[in-house]
Amino acid sequence: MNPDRATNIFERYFFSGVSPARPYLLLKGTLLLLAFDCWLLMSSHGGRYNVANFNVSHFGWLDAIQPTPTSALYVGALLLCGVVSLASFFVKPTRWALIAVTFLYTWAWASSMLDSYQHHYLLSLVLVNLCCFPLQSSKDVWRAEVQVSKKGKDVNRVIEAWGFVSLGVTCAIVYGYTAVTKLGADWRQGHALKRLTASQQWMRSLLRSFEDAGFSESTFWGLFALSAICVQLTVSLGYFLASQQDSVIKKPWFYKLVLLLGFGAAISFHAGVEGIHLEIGWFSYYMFWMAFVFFAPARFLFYLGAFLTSPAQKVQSVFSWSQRRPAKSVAVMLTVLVSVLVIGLGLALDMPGGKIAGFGSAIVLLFVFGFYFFKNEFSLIRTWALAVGTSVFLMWASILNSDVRFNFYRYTGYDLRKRGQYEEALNAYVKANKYAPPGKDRKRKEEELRRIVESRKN
Amino acid sequence: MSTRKKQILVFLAAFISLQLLAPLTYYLRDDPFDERFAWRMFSGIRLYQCSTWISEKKQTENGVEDTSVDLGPLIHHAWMGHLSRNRVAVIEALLKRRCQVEENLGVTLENQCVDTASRMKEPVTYEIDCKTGEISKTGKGV
Repeated sequence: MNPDRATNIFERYFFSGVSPARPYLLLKGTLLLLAFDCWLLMSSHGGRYNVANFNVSHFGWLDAIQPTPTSALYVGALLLCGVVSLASFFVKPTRWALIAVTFLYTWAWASSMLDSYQHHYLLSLVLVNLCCFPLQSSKDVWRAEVQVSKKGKDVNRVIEAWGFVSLGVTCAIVYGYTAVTKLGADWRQGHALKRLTASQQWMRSLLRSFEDAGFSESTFWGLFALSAICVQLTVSLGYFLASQQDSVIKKPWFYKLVLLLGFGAAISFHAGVEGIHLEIGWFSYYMFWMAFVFFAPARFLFYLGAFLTSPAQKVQSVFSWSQRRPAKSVAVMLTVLVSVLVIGLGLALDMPGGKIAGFGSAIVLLFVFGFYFFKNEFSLIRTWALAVGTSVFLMWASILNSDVRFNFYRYTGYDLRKRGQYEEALNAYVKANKYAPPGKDRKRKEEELRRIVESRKN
Repeated sequence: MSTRKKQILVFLAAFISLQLLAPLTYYLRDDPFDERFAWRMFSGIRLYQCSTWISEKKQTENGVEDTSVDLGPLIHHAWMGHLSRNRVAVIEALLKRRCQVEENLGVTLENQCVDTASRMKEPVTYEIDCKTGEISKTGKGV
């Protein structure tokens, strides 16, 4: 193929028009999920880091340059990642904030093979793509659209969003590989699928109805395995084409069919994965949101986005001060006050990494302050101070009202006990019980350990 | 085409090539167990059920003795899964770590796996000579 022609195809594909609502909603939804994912799911496993000073990272070169990740460092990085992520959800995100989120999240899993979940690698790829998204506020997306529509023009305005198109390609590649790698005999004969799902009640009922219809068990598993391959290939093709739908004016019927099948296949695949209770945290929810934003019609997303962002726009119009440029002294005071608050909340978490998250958030604020102060952008300093302060407060409040600390300390206590460090295990269980939800405490373990520690002293 | 667009396309070409090529390296490596970054979700190998034994050759007053090792007190139990899944980097790090024990002359780790069709696979054995630090591997395990 002529290289110019190839470049033209490449250019037309990646710089095709995309409804601005799509990248906006995908970015915001992912940042929101990521923040609570980091705080409420990932951080509770932090106790396993640097146990017995043993660690192997995902990359040899990383082992050579990084300090051995400790519980505090791992949990601190995740908490801070969540803070920057949620702050970016509240405000018009900046490129450096998205890069910081990507770096912190990626380092968190890459620093140790203890975190070897493939969906974490995929989320890092998603975040790299998000760093390349157009940076838009809700006003940029919806006010502009409303003005255009009032003049009687089409609401389906499109923008250049090559980062969004690239994310579609990333999804197409990943789903494509997951389909192709299932072509091995192990999968095709249904052995792997059987081991994964045989214990599920709904799967057993499905198998029974197949057997009642006269099919053998091996045919059932073989067909089911083959259908999983077809589903993933359909999702892959769907993602590859979905990013182009806003620039195609007259969509042919088969294009519409591929999008419809792609959406249905993506949702059913992840719903099925949820049904077999794999240890993948909230990954399915990221993918549900992604499929929804990629495949839904632009007009529908436009109205949904307008509805979802209207409370924030109303709050802004009620508080008219948010439109005014604050004085230099207000920006300074706010930065100092919020910095003290976030450090205090970080320390109050009573979890390794809380201090790092608190001081880290204060450093983020100082960085924002330094960056915008000399540009006389005091309103951005105020906006970021409020966003970071609110994010740290929500981190503290959500951890306070969840099982994170209970899980963190009981996992830690379990391991310490197994390794014969009874006194440290006792301390961990005491803390776990302090934060235990009703009826779930580990008082018996605590008492047993107390007896062991006392008998060892005697 | 503008220079900005050209730069973006070069970045995208590199980024997409990386995403396409990184999983392919799995098929070039002589290590079927390391499925990281290969997008082999739910693969048969990931579902192998393996048992791990580790023993150390020690210099004692009675000569050289083989003793089995309980890894429980030595590392976090989460690493056990990586050892039984034949993660070479983790196994090598552990073998080297055990060689730091003065009386150890060598350390052996053996994994015996059963596949999804309940077939016993050939065992894989990793051995380190603590004097030279050389690690050898026998058996394929698949």
